[in-house]
Amino acid sequence: MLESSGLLGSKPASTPLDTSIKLHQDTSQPFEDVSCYRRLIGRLLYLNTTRPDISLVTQQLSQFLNAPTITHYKAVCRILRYLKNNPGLGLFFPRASETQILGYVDADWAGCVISRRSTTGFCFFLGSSLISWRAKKQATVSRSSSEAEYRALSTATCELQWLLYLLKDFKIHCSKQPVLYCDSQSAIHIASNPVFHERIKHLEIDCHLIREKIQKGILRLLPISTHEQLADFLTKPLAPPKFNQFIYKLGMINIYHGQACGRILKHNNTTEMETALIRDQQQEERGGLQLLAPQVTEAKH
Amino acid sequence: MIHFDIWGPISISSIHNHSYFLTVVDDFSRYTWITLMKSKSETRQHVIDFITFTENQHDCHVNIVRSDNGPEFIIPQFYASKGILHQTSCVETPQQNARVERKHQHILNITRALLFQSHLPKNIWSYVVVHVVFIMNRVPSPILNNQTPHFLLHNQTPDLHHLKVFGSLAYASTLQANRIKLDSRARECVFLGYKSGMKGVILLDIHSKQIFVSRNVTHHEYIFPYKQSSSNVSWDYHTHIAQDYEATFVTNIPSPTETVSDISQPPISTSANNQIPSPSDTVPPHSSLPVVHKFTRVRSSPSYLKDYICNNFSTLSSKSVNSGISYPITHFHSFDHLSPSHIIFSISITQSSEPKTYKEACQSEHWLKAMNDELKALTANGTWSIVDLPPNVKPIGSKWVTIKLRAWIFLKHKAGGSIERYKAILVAKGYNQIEGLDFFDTFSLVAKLTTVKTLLAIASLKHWHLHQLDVNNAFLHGDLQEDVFMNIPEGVFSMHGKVCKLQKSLYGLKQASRKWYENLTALLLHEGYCQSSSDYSLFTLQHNNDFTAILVYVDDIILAGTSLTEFQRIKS
Repeated sequence: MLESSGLLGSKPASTPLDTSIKLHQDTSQPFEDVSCYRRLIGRLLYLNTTRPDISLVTQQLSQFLNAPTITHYKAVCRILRYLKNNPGLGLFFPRASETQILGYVDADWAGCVISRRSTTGFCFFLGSSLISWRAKKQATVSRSSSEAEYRALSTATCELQWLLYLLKDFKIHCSKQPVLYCDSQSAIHIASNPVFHERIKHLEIDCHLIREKIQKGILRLLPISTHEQLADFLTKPLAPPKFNQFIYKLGMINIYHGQACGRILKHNNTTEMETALIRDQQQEERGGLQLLAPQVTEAKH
Repeated sequence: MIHFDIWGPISISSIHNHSYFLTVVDDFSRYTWITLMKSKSETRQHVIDFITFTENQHDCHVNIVRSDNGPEFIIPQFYASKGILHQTSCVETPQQNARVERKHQHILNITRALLFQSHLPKNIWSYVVVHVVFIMNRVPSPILNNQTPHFLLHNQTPDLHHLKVFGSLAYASTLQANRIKLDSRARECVFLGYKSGMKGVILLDIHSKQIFVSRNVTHHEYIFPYKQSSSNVSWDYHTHIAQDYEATFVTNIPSPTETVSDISQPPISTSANNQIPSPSDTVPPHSSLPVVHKFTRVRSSPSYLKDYICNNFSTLSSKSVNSGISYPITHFHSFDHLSPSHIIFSISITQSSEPKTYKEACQSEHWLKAMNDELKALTANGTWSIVDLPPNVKPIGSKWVTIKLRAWIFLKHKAGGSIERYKAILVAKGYNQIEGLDFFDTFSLVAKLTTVKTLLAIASLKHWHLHQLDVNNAFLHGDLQEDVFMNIPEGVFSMHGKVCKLQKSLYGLKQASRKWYENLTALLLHEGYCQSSSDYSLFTLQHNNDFTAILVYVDDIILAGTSLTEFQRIKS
């Protein structure tokens, strides 16, 4: 991608999106090569499969496919420069973790400047491996931030339900009840009990799906502080130190970074012998360590 | 102020019997005029004519005339009537008439150079001298503050677009009246300069040795027809071309000496016969003013070329494509500097270009083999049966594709530089298919990527085995229910009116991936697998304590599970 866009010699960027820029349908000069822009976005969307760190910015930029401007193209270049910063970054699936689904839900109220719609962001972990994430603009305008969070919760619940079905198909028994973390107290209250009737009476009935699921005991809804909210990176652009912290928390490591691997291995309390064993197993393509990165899959080909 | 001098006599008189020329140099602009003469006695009249000419043409009067002590310049009555001061040099001191003497040296230097370059016989010198003066008047000089004499005299920059190389090959179109349909349309000629007072160029016909003027001329400036084959001195950048032409001209010009004798006589007679005036006979060369306005039409390349970049338009019109390129790429990019092994490597890379058409592919043994292999595989698979074309059916086409997706997939360069694998694929032109007639549904689902990640995470958690399968020719396994007729592919011997009725699906068909998916689903269900309802591309099997999951992404398959024996079974 870097080569085809001519950015091979560009300066790497530490984050995929500038925190000071709010992307919208601006009036700057239109970007002339529209098909080039679309091609780049298409590639980035495909890259989203293994790179949750660029999903927010891709979601934002893919809204302007019909008439991109120079600002949007510059933002795309910024993503590419970010990718250049650490091309080896990938998801790490540790072998020692619990079979519990943890979900983090967040919403950015009225995040879209033009339509004033909110953005849903959620991510799901199976134990400590990140398996599903999403950044999506909501279909309707929300009147309050709690309402936006509540809508996000219901979307995440659908995803969670599907993941549970999937695990059932895999004949996996969850050791603990799935947990959904949300940083909005009022949303949690709405989900638990039919309160705040005056403010949420206009909500679509399907949004109350989560209430039913909680009552059935399928999932637990727990509050979390905004600082520990892992879905934060899916709703708003972050500054470099916080962003790197998030990368670490999501379980993403750089396979070209020897220390990173060592750190993870130490983190898992494995001895040197075990490390060697794991490496051997990896060579035999036995699912000991699974690094999901495009480079790895290519090498296997 | 005007400088006069006579040059001559020369032992080789020109083809028109000229032995002298009169040179006139303007002191201010250094513009030079030249008049060819058969004897010195003509000088006096030419001097008088010239002074009248300047008065008329340039609207100015000659103040001073400077010459040597030659008696032909001593015409005191004429000078007195015009009020002209006549200055002469002292005896035996030609340096006092240096302007024009130096000019002579310059003229003869270039004349020699042009004669050597063109290899024309020496008796052509009269044309050369006239052409040299033509060039000199258009060349900037440091003493004129880098202006040209032409600019100083006429106050306008000369147009140099029509300048051609003296003695180079030119083709003049023959006169329409003198030719029948089957005659040659052009004559092979040599360029001899410009005809003053006419918008045309002077040409020497190579075969008939006739000198004539024409304006419908195609120039080939890098080819000198008179060049001797024995001569090693040549313009190195087009040696081979010149030699190519040598071969054709050898029969016409047996030897250079003969050429000289040949050429010396006929022009006069022919020019008399054809009423084509020889330049120096009719129009005095010093009336070279109208030459300035030659070829004022702006030459532009034809409109069909406007979308292309043409470095040198003349290359297109020339017979040999190479001949017009003054800076061929081989001068700047060549393999000469590489080591032998490096050359082999580079050539092997450039050689392995993919063929564009079936005909091109047939040139190569490897591609032919690859296509035959593919045809054999297709026939063995029972992909089609050859039937008569039913009425009212338009068969779809087919095409050979040699894909170069990744150099390391299809074209594996071994260390020695040879290519390991050639792959040719027969592709049906599915874009000609009509919905409802030869295809119905095309939807074919793929695994959701979240499922893939979940599977990998679980496999890592549960310490499952993981295998990755890539099905070869996956799309060829689908059975077709629809009647699809395809033209018999290139490379198969075919009879007229026969077409292929496809039994199995082929790459390029719209329903190909759906048929493959249906086929695989049926197979896996038959094997006892359970299709997951949360992701339809996921198939699971619980057998005693062993669990196996299969995830299908078109022709890429992930196998995960506890039992390796089950893996082996499924693979087989």
